[in-house]
Amino acid sequence: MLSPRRPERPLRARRTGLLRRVPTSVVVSTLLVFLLVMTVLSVGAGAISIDPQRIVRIIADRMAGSGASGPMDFIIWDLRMPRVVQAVVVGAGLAVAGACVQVLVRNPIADPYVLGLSSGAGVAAVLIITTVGVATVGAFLLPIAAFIGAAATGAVVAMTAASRWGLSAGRLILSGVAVGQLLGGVMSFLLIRSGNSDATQQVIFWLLGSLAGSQWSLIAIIAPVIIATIAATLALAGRLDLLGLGDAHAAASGANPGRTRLVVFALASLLTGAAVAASGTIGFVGLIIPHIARLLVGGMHRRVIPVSALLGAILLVVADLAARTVLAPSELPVGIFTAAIGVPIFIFLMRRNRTTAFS
Amino acid sequence: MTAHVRFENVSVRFGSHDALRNVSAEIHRGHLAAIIGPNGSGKSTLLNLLTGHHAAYSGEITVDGVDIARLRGADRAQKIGVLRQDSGPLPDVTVAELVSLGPRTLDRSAVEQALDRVGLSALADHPLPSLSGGQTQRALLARAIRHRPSLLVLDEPTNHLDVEHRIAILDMVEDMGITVVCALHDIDLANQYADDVLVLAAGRLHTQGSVTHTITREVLREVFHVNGESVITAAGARHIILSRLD
Repeated sequence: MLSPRRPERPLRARRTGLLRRVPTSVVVSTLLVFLLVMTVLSVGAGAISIDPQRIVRIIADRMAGSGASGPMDFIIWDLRMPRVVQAVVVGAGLAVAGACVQVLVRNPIADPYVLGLSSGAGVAAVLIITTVGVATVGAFLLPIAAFIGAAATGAVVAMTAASRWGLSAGRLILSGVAVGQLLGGVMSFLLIRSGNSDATQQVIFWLLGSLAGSQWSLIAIIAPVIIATIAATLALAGRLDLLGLGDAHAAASGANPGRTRLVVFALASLLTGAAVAASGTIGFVGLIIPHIARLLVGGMHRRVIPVSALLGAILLVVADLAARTVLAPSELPVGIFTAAIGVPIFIFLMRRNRTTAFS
Repeated sequence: MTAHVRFENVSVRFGSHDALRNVSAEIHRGHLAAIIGPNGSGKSTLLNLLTGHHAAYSGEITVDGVDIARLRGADRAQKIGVLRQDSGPLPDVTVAELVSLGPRTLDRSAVEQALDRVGLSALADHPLPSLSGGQTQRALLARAIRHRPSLLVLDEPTNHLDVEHRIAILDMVEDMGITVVCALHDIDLANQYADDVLVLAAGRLHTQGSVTHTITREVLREVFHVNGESVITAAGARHIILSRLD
C-alpha cells in the first residue's frame, strides 16, 4: 500500500482555508456584524462627526417610515447613507464578479475588467461627459449609458468568443482583452478630439472610481440588480466548482461547460456593468477579494461567493471612509485605498496559509 | 459474453481532417480494453466521444445497449466514470470535497465509499494541493467512480506517475471488476493489463483482439515504427521490450 507523504493526524475540518475549523455560519455572521459596525462608523465620520447611537436611531426612524426631521437627519440619511450603501453594493458586486471571472478564464490574475466591460462603460461615459456634460441631465444619464456600454461590450465579447460549443476560457479572455483594447483606443480618441480639459478631468476621476456620485435613486436601480445576480451566482455554485476543475472534468460530470460559461459570463457582466455604472472603475476589489475569501474558507463556491460579497463590501466601505477622511476636506480616489488596505491583508494571509495552490 | 460498449462505423471530422474513420469495435462487459496508437492516431478523440467532451460524430455508440447520443449529460455521468492524464491546476478544496462537488453535491457516505475503494480514506479532509501526484490521481479516480459507474474511461491515467503509482492505479482499476476503456502510451502496461487491445493508426482501427494477437512484432513495426521483442519471465509473464528500428 502507498504511504501518504505527510504524517497522518485526525482532522475534524471538512474544508480548506485558514478558517477551516470555524463553521461557515460563524464566519459569515462575524463578517456581517463587522460590516454593520463599519457602516455605522463610516456614516458617523466626516466634517461633522455623529455618534453611533444617534445614527442608529435616525436610520431606524427612517426605516420605520417617518419623514425628514432636521439637518442631522438630512446629513445622515441623504448625504452619507447613500454613499455607504453604494459602497456595500458595489464592493459586493465587484468581488463576486471577480470570483466568477477568475473561474471563467481559469486564471488567478483575472479581474472583472479583463473582459473589456469597463472599457465599454468608459466609452459611453466619455461620450456623455464630452457631449452632454455631467452638470445637468448628464449626471442622470451617465450611469445608464455606462451600464448599456458595459452590457453591449459583454454581448460583443461573448459573440466574438463563442463557438458552437459555447464559450471556451482561452477565447473568452483573448476576445475580452482585444475588445477592451479597441474600446480603450476609442475612448482616448474621443477624449483627445474633444479638446475639453474639464471633461478630461471628469473622465479621469470617473475612471479611477469614486462613490461621490451616490444617490438613493441610483441605488434603487443597481442594488436589486446586484443582489439578484449574486443570488443567481450562488445558485450556480456547484457548476462554478466544476468549471474550476476544467472543461473536461465538467463535461465528464454531466455539465455543459460552454453553456455554463456563457451564463456565468452574462451574470458577471451584469454585476460589473451595474457596479461600474454607479461608481466608475474601482480597481482591486474584484482581483484580490476572491483570493482572500479562498484563503479563508477554501475553494468551494457556495462559501467563496457569500464570503467574497461580504469582504468586498467591507473593503469598499473602509476604503471609502479613508478616501474622504485622510486628506479631508479634499477627497482621494477610492482605488488608492482599496489597494493600500487590501494588499497587506492579502500578503499576510497568503504567507500564513501553506496548504493552498500558492504554497 | 455480451458487448458492453459498441462503436458502429464511428467517424469524426475536424475541418478537412479525419480524426476517426469508420471505427467499429466491441468491448465486452468486465473487460479492460486498452487503446494504443501513436500520437494523433485518434485515441483521445475516441474516448472523448464516450465522455461527452465532443459531440459531433457520425455512426453510433452504445453503452449497455443505449445510444449515448440520447443520454442527458447527468445520466451519462452516472453511467460512465472518467479519469484523465492531466487536470491542470486544481482548486483549493479537500479530497472529500473534490469527490463530492458537482451540480448536485454527493452525500458524505458515498464520498467515503469512493475514497475507501482507492485507499484514500485517511486523507479525506486533507487539502488537495498538499497531495503528491499519485495521491491526486487516486483522488481523481475516487471522483470517477463516485456514482459506481458500469464503465470507466481512462485517458492516459498514468502519464505523470512513477512506476509504483502506475501499477497501483491500474491494479486498483482492475480490481474494481467493471468495464474499462483505457488509452495508454505505455505498450508494456497495455500488454500486462488489457483483456482486449484496440490499435489505432491515423484515425483507423488497425487491429483489435487479445494482447497476443495485437501487440505483435508486425503491428509494432507498422504502426509505431519500433522493434518489439516479447520476453517471457521466469514467472511466466509476457513483457514487451521496445527498441529503435534498424
